[in-house]
Amino acid sequence: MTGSIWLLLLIAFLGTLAWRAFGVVVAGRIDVHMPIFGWFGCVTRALVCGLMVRAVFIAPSGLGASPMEDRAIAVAVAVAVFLLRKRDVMLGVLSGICVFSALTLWRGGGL
Amino acid sequence: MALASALVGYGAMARESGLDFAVTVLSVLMIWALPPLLTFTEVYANGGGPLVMLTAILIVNMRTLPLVVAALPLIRKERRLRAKHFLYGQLISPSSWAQLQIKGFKLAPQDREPYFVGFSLLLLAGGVAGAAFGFAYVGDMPQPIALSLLLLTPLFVCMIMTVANGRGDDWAVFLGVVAVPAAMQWSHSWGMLIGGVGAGTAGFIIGGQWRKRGAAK
Repeated sequence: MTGSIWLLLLIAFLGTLAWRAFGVVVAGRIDVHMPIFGWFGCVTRALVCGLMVRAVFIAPSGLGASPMEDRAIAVAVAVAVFLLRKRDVMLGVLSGICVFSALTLWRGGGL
Repeated sequence: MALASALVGYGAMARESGLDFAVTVLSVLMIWALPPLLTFTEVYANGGGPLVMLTAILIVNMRTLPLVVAALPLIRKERRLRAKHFLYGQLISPSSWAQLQIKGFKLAPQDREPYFVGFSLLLLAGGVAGAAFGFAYVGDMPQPIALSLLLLTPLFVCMIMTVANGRGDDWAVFLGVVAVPAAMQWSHSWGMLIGGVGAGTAGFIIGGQWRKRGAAK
């Protein structure tokens, strides 16, 4: 897998550059409220949030070293605070991280 | 600060996903927006090939097009296209775009370009430093801090992507968090695209119906 990482990075760069360069060329000439942008926004949200949920709960990353219930409790607290506090990102993230750190600390018996 | 912290988490995630230091730092410079950066890392970690990477990155990066289209007329002084305008396009991120919307109209036209360049380079430098720090030191950190860093970035990105949602757009997120992991159980690489496009399209349709119903009331 490591042999192809530079090729994948180059492809990701070109995929990034393509839309940005196109945006520079057409800036001021297209309507950014067209329905196609709404559709791409929805697909992006679905794809990226799905990947993030997988990275937290399923993927065998470093987070796999912590119990599933700790991750679930931390995410539930973060989402609840985020929604109850009118979608305050900082408060939502901080509350989830604090709960998760406290649970990890408690299980590990301190730092 | 929030962005640099999230990039610290990205550095930690990149290391866990098997990227090396140089690729991690270069990816921040070359891709420069958290959603495509995390997509890049996840596609790589799940063994996706060049075609999956290109398709996923093109889909996720489409949202930078309206940002560039809306921001560039505000910063560029000349009507004619210059090479530097493509560099500005590459520097635009959701954070610099949002800052430009707040400050840009208050600044004199001749001050907008240097303000944008300075602010964007500061963000980029903070992002690169954060990712490098996260990558280099996650292994030496106490476990609660290291694990929290790995959780921070996915939480931050999901919330940032839903912060401005209407209730209709939330359907795309809700369906995506169910459909994408499920589809990836079937196929690691193509499953993410099929799940994302399917859930996003369903969310777009349901959201449209929701908005119509709200407008009719």
